[in-house]
Formats: sequence, C-alpha cells, structure tokens
Amino acid sequence: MILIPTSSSCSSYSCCSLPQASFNSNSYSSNQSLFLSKSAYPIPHGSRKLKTLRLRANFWESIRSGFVKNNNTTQLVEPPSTIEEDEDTEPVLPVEFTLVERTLQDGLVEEIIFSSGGEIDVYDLQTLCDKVGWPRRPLTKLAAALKNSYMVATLHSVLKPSSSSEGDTEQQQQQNKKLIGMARATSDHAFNATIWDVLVDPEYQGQGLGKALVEKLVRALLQKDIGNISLFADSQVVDFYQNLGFEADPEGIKGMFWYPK
Amino acid sequence: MGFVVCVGNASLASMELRWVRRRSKCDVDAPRSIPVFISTLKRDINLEELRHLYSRCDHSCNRLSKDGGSSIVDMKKLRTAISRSDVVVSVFCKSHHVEKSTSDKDDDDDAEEERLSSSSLFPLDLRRQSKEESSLGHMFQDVLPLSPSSGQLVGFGRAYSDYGLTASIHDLMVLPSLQRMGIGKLIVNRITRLLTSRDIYDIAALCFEHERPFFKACGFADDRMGSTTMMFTKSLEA
Repeated sequence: MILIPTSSSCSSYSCCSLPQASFNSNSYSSNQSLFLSKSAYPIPHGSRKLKTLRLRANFWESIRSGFVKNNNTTQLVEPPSTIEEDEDTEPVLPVEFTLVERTLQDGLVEEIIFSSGGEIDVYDLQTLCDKVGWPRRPLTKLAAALKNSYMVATLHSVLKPSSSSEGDTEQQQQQNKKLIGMARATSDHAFNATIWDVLVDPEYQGQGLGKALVEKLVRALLQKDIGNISLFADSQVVDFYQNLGFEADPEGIKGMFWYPK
Repeated sequence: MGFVVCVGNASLASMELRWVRRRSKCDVDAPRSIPVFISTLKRDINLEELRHLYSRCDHSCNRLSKDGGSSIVDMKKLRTAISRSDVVVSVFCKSHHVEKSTSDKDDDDDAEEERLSSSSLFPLDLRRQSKEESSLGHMFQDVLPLSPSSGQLVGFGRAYSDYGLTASIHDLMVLPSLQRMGIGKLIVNRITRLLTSRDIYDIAALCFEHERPFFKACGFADDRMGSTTMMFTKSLEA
C-alpha cells in the first residue's frame, strides 16, 4: 500500500487488513494447544507435538532433580529424550511433582505439589490474593493474564488420610486440594522475562516454599536461555529475592511505569 | 506544514506518515523537518535491517554487560522475540535523509567509511559534492512516496504483555544521528496507545540511568508503590 502525500485533506482507508488480528491469532493458537491434553481437538501437527511433549518432560526432569526430597510419589509424563530448539510450540508442558510430604498431628498426610502449565481456578487465586492482602483485580483480566503468561507455577496442598486406600476417588482428591502459592512470568520467549505476582498463603510461609517456587521459575527461564529476568519487589521482600540471586538496580537499571496525566 | 495520512481505523492506525522536526536551530542547511513512516505491523520488519539497527544504536539485547558483550544479536532469538512481542513499532525514513544527517556529523564512522571506500575523494570534498547534487536528486526523492520497503529502518520499539494486567517495553532505539527529533517519543506514545486500547495500564520499562529523563518526558515515573527493580544476576550452577 503506497501512501502519497497530497494537499487534500487526509482520508482514512478502511480496506486495510486489521493488524490487530495478527497479534491475537498468535495467542489464540497457543491457547488451543494449552488444552491439548484435556480435549479432543484435532491437532494439525500431531507428530511434532508429541516430540515436544517428550522434550518438555526431560527439561522439567532436569529441574526437578535439583530439589525433590522425596522421590516416591512423583508423577512425570514421558521418558526423557534429546532436547531440541523449537520456537513455535507451547513453552511449558503441564507437569507436576511433589515438593514436600509430611504427616500432620491428626494422622493426615499433607503433600505440597508443585505444578506448572496446569489450569488455575481464578476464584481460588482471588481468594489467595485476598489472604495475602492484595487489592482485588478484575477476574477476566486475571484469567487473561494467566492464560497469556509465559510460565505459571503453582503450589497446591493435598490432604490425604494416612491410611488412604488406592481407591481414593479423583473427586475426593480434588476437594482436598488447596491452592497455596503461585508465581508467573511474562516473556518475549527469547531475551527478557518479568516475574509478576509471587504469593504464598500466609499459613504456609516461612517454610521455603516461596523460595522453591521462584527458584524453579528462574531455573526454567535460564534453561530457555532467557538472560534478562527482572521483577519489581515490594520493600519487604527485597531481601528474599536477594537471597535467590537477584540484585537491586543492577548497573543503574531501574524500572519505570507509565502514569497518564 | 504537517499532515497525517492514516490507514485503517483512525485511532488505531497501523501505518502512519508523520513529520518530525529537530528542535535546535543548528545545521541550517540540512532539512530539519523530515517525514517518517511509522508501522506497527510485524510484516514490515526486515530482520536483517533490524539487527543492523541494533548494532548501529549500540544496543545489546543482554541488559547486563557481563552477560556477553557481543554486539551481534542472535538472529533466531530475535525472530522469536519479535514474533512473541505483542506490540512492535518501527519507524522508517527515506535513505537520503539518513545519509545527509550523518554527513553533518563526523562521529558516525560507519557511514564515513562506506563513502570513503566507494570514492577516492576526501570526506570534505565528498560533503561538498553531495550538496551540489543534493538539490535535484533529493527533490526527486522527496516526491517519491515513503513506505517501509523504500525507506530505511531508523527507529524501533517493542513490548510484550500478558493481555490482561501488565506489559513491558524493551529495545527502544533510534539511530544516533536522528535522535532528539521526537522519534523515540513517537514510538513510546504509539506503544502505550496500543496497550491502553487493549485495556492494559500497568506498563513497565527497564531503563538505564541515562535513559531516565527520556522516559520521564514520555510520561513514565518511578513506581508509586515504591517497589525495587531487581534482576537476576547469579550464574546458573552446573
């Protein structure tokens, strides 16, 4: 399309194809493959997706091995295979593994499960945000932000009776599953990433869970060769992030926010 | 005399022609009001040209200098980064405007070297010669329409977001010879306009100390909630 400067008044052409569509189509296609494991959508590149399923599992395997104390109840998806670079597919495969397992006084067994790439109930998340004292944000925005974040990591607590039989129904387990922590990161998938919204239920704080959450997220980002990982820390958590390897205002880099007048 | 030609919806034009003007009165001979073409379409971006722009603006994709001071941007990563950025703004202008402004300054070594290699004249004579030829040739080129394919990439900026709450602006750059003409501000304003049209108001930009006045002039400020910017600096243990 050629624009020729003329002296007549400016006119707007309505025949131009919408540029905005090209932005959104990216996210729509990625949303479809997010639910690939849960629904029967026809997958256009079937074999390629399967290959990446395997390589993502290997990638998480290497991270998990750095932390897990208790090896018996891990659930990983696929055996490891060679890792390749593939930029068009989903960044994270739904993976979860147990971080901590402990027995409580009343005989119940509590498992803290780390998971990434799974679905999060926004209502649960809002409840959690209320617990830590964060201001309320519109649910639709929250849901959109979660869907379009590059990585979302969550911590759930699952309570099981110590004498649980193998026949525990899925539903029972779901009812005892509680969201206790979350962290998410947005990125351009190549150079930069920003970590937002790191929170842990106050009842579960002080146990190293937040540290594990952030550390795993950071390690996952570094494994993807994303070099600039930044975040904006409230004053009371600056030390927390410093212990994890973050530096405040490195080389004079500061973050500025847009405030319309 | 300034005018705007918009394509598409007037408030969310994807391609726009604008005039920028240098505020200071120096360099009287060169035209200080030049047309630039702003595009927000990814297909207008030529990756090679973009990588060249990164080098010429001395902009490294790795923010922290210790993370590899190589100035050549990895092409594959650049392609991924552009395709995954939610907003990209590129600014083009006519090649002869870029060359002319570089001839006024001596510090752009690249352009100097190129001209020296193509002709055996000394830089001073070259400049004089180009001025004589400039009037006719440039008058013709001035009439030619400016479009991304005919123009040269001189400014760029991109941002990625989560389509809901937050966004981050990165890799904002303008050719050094064409700075201080309002191009950078044009890019930032376009990015924020596109983001706010999608209802994202939490827009962050990481900037070095020397870039802060620029962002301040564009409407950015330190976080009102008093948060500290932190970046990961520890190397990954094997």
